[in-house]
Amino acid sequence: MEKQASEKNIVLEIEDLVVNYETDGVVVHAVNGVSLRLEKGKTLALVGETGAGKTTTALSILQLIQDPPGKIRGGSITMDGDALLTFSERQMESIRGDKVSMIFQDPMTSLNPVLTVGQQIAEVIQIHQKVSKAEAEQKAREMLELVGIDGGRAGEYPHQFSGGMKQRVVIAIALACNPTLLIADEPTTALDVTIQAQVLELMKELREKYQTSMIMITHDLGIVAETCDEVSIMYAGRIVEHGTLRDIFKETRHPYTVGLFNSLPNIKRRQEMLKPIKGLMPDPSNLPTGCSFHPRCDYAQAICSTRKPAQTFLSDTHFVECLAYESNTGVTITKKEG
Amino acid sequence: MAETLLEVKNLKKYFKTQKGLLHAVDDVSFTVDRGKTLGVVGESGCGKSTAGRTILRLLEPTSGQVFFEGKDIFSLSPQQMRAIRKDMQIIFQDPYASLNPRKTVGEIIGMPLVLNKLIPDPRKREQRVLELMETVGLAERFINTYPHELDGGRRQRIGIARAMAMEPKFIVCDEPVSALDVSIQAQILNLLTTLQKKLGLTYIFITHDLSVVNYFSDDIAVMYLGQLVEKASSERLFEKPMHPYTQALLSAIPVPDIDHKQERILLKGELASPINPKPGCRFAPRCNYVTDKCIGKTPELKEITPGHFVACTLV
Amino acid sequence: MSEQASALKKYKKRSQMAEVWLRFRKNKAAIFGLIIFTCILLVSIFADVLVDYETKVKQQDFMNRMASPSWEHPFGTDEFGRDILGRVVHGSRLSLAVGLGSVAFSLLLGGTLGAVAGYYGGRLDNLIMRIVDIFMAIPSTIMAITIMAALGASTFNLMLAIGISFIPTYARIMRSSVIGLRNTEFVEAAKAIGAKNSTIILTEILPNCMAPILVQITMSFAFGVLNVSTLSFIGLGISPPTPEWGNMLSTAREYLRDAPHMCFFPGMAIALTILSLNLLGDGLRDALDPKLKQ
Repeated sequence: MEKQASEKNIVLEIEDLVVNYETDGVVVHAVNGVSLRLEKGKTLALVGETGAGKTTTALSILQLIQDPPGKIRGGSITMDGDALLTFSERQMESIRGDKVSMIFQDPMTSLNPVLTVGQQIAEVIQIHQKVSKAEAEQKAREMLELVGIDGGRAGEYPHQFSGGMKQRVVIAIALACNPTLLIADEPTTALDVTIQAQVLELMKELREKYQTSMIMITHDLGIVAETCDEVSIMYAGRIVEHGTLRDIFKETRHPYTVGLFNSLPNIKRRQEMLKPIKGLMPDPSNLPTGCSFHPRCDYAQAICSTRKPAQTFLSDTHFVECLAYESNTGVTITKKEG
Repeated sequence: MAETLLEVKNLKKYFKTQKGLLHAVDDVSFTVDRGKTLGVVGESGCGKSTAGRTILRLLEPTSGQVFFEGKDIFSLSPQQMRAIRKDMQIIFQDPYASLNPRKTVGEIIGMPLVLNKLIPDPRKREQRVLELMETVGLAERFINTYPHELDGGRRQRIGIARAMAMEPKFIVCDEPVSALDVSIQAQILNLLTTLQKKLGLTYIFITHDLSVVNYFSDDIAVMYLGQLVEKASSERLFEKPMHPYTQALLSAIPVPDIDHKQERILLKGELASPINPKPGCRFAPRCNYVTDKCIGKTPELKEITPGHFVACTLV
Repeated sequence: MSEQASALKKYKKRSQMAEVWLRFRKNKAAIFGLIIFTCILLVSIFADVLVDYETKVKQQDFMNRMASPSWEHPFGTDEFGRDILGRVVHGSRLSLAVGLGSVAFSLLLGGTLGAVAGYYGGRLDNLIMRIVDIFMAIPSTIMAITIMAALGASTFNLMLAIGISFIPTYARIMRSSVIGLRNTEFVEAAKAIGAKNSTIILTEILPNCMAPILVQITMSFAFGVLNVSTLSFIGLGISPPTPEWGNMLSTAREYLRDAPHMCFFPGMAIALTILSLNLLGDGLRDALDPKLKQ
């Protein structure tokens, strides 16, 4: 089923992705039918809590899920017209770091401690481009300058850099081959606030300059508001609400998304009790029937535990998976004051 | 005037490292009133956790004094110290690391009672443990489970129950919600608020998350590389931050509001570590307003309006 | 009230050993090791019941010297016509007892030294560990030979001689585990609720060091059994006529061409014991590894 990828300039399209982790008869349903599309130059935020399936979704794009126990059980991932899930390991290797690259959460562990940062950047360039060693090293220095590090430090080792600087090096490696798609998995979680501000600013600049599409995985709605164009809210392996930044922040519809916003301490409303979502994330090896969120939902009705909600489009850009927005379900969301 | 519960005077804690003397906490003074919460904020390496642990004497101070209800706790003998620990407790950041993996929930919560021989009768002790579990919202059925079988939020509840077991007056909360998911974080913050209201607890709330600290604290102290740079009431600090570092820190928080576009003050450079620091303002190398006056002499903490202290030569 | 008071009993704890066992059970080689070792252990415990010492082990039969394995003597007979099966069975007792004794001795001494050095650190640590280093610098067999030569041959001295060479290993393992645990938050938490140092070491730290120690116990037990045989082989350990695998091998060596079975069976006993203990240790290491947990 060849999709017309060129329409609207879609860079990445994921269709009904299902990923399980299977060990000793226990099946963890990490991703249960995720579909998303990303336009060129746009940034999509994947928001959710631990275990929502954000990272698994991202890793499936690069086929970096550890197998065993991880198994992609269904769906398709199309990038620039190529069906990535049919690719061999060899073909994937040529894509990783070239067309798609990834920034991981912890810069301390994603750099090799025994190679200089220059070597590590040059390595990526040499793998994917036909250049000499000297050329690659020259390019590596340029990349360092680009992320705000003096090119002369190319000969230094990762431990000689601070956390924020290391993350800049990681960004330089990720951008070295000018990828079409950049996946950033909580790129600033391990950094301090003032350093985070610097790194986010840098990523924004570089993305605008190179028109890179990006998937930003985060749990911080503040970062989302500042860096992203579209938002997908994930819960228990599904996208429960998706829309533009405005759709999600101003026209919040799904009870889970509402709950997420209410859980944040608000700088303006101090000394007021927070309104957390009750209960805990469901066990992904034993998901609730019907809507996965119903045990924690304030508006849940009997039907929520038996019927799976479908995507309901509220506008061209905004959809939600909640029975309250489907017709004749009897589920209603009564707005609380405020 | 409210009654002072805790007074910290010129507290210093230095660590010997291979590169020199690390001034983790360098001449910090402040007071906390009974029933109030002091938020201590700062980035990694600013000494906030070290300060919290030194106040409880989990680390021995280099110099300085800490008065708890008027008693200088650094002058107490080990026996006296053990007795006063009943009143001063700590909740740790990492609910994974702060619970002994070989003990059950019941054993962990009951341990302070056993150690201090508070409730010798095992049956009564068990009841007290169950009471504590109920207070922090842990179901009775978890009493014989091990921490690793539970999720982060529940583990943090165990840590809170353990701290509450001896009915302390004062608790140092060292980043108690940083390791938790947003929705769980809110549950724990609410629990801490409820406990404070019910039992009149006094908190020192250490965190790097400014939105949490603002929500939670009456006063906020901002630390930078071992020193206190600004202290004020929460409203005041967020409205009128005076120190250039506080201003930058506040502007760096990503705000989850798409209409609120605030000017961000980007700081130059990176956090250093305070090893053998030279006299002078430690923030000077990153400060956007640095002048010659900033170098050579460490700025003192001045009270510019009642209750608002700033350590900056420009103020 | 009464239903509340029974909560501890109502909710049974799932033992951590049970979880370890679940993982251990999957390792076929380790189970094989466990079965073999249990058999050897049972044989040595019930040696007297299985084979009568007076008639089968001590009694010489010159008509039947160096007889090949037969129905009457499944392992054959030795140069005095004694039943080799009986001697191998009874020989297991000494080997295992000395192995176990040496492990216990070194674990107690080395473990304590390591725990103290690791927990208190500083100068005390330096002092203890340098002394341990000195012991480590001497090859264990040579040290054991020296001690046996100086103290004379006896079962107790044998335990001592073999055990001393294990002390550095236990001290090192214990010290590094304790250092890793000393600064954890749960130790700090125990301090914060008023625990004394001794309480902290005994209830917080030690239970968490057990995994590497347990693995080491199986390994050094195997090494201990081997050492007993080595020393007996060169005549410093248990000397004939008391049956011991090492000294049996030693005498059998002279008759290797004429009666190879005399070497084969005690040799097999040593090899099997060591193999089973090593398999057991490997399995334990995998089963206890916290990284595989979850």
